Amino acid sequence: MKAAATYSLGLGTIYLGMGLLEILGSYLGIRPSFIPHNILGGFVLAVIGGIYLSGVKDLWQGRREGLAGTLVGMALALGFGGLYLLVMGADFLSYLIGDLEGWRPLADLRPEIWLAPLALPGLRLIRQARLARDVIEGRPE
Amino acid sequence: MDERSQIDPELALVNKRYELIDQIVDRVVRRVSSELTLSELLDRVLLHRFLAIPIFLAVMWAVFQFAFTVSAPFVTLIGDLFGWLAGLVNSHILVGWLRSLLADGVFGGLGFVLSFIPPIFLVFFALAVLEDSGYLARIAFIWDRLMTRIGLSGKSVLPLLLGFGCNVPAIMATRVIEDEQSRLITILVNPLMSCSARLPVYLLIAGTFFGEFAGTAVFSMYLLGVLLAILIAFVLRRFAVRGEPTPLLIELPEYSRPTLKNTTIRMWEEGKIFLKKAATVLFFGALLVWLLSTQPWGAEVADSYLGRLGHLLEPLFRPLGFPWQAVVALFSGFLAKEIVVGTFGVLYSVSGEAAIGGALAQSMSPLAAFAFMAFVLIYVPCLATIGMIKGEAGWRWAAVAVGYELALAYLVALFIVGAGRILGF
Repeated sequence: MKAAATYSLGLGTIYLGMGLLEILGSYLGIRPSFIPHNILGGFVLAVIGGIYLSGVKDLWQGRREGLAGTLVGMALALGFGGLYLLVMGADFLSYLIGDLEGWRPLADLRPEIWLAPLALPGLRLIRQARLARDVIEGRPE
Repeated sequence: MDERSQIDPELALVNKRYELIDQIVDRVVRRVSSELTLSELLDRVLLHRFLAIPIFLAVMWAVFQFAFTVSAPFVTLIGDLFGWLAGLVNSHILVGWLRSLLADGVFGGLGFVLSFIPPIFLVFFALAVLEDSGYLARIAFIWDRLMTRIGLSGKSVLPLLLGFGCNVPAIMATRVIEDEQSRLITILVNPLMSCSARLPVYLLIAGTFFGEFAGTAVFSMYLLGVLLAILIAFVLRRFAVRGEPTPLLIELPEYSRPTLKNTTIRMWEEGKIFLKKAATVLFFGALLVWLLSTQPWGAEVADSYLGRLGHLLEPLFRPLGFPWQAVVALFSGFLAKEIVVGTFGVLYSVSGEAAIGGALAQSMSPLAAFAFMAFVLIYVPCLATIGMIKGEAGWRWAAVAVGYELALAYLVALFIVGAGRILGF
């Protein structure tokens, strides 16, 4: 559980940090090249980070409830990674048909895409959670 | 029972039923593990008192991106295809009226109506994923308390937010609401959610008249739409669609993985309803607007029946400070709000946003321009939206929607102009 806690803490901090940088960067004009400037995009990153962090305390104390944060965080991280790949594909199609002149693939390479592989180890946690489902045994009176 | 406990009889019955179920389960079932199930585990986060709404907003953002950004190139391709067909007609048919009928009326109308297909199908795909995964029921649960206060259902929040993208798929998305009255009210207030087609009008007017406050002016339109939707929902529930919203009695389903086959079938089943409407009422509506804007044959738009109607009704809009060109633009916006900017260009005989903005600045005061933005936000939704309201709620309610929105648009614009003058603007 401590390994899961450390993993969630690390990923949560990265996502939350990226999200806050994107939101603040949009306001203050601080725009590192690897972070886009879309307030709603930053909000989503911060939410994913917050979800990961929400389970850290429970996991550190050995409580299985903490897995919830890691599982939902992973689902959203992978979901948004896939979604932004689709958006990139759609923009590429728009570019091909001449509707998006000057489009560059890097402009669509959002943090959700390159952070998504880091969420993959969380898939093992789903298996653990499934294995530990309630086993209910009928006991006729 | 309900008199003593002062709670809804239906709720009391459900509570009693679950008490009985719990008693029976305690007697016949032995839990050998006290650990949470996967669904219970996920609900700890997805229904968390602080995280639930941010997660919902993130999911809605994903639905928006999926439905409207991913569909964008396909919308363009459909437009290009019909543009190409119109070009063929223009270069091969010499008879003027037939050329205009086919190129502008038939292919122009079909191109407009069918361009809604990609976002509509993707919205239904996303809704099917949300429903099959079990999350849709949670959305209703999260929002129910807040939405029932204004006479809507928890599930109303979904189509209302989708309305910011496009009101047509948003109105179709009201099918997820089981309570008929809540569904009807959600349909009727949905056009007040400012769809993306209205944005070019706001940008033109705000950029021309409000300089550094352009962003605030545009944002105020979105805020005005939400506030009016809350007000109208409350009024409709109180006076027109009476009755209390049905209390939310749902068993939250277990989370499950949606399958591609199921979601595709459901997307097709819901989407083909739009295809049927597109082939009938929407297409013929587009033809009618084309007819009004081209007849008498050979006349400019300003002298067409549509233009004459604009001139005829101009005195009605004089208190709002709208020139006759703005009135005609509002009429053409009945087909689609995107056309409003283009109509200004035709009527002022200029092209390019800067030139149109310059012409507008000569004929309208900033106060009238702000009132015009509010009017565009509130007055009749586009033809496709009206067709959808008719399809989902019938002609009577479609007429109610058009009627109340016209009256409300006029009153709000009049209030803006009146209040602005009193405040010295």
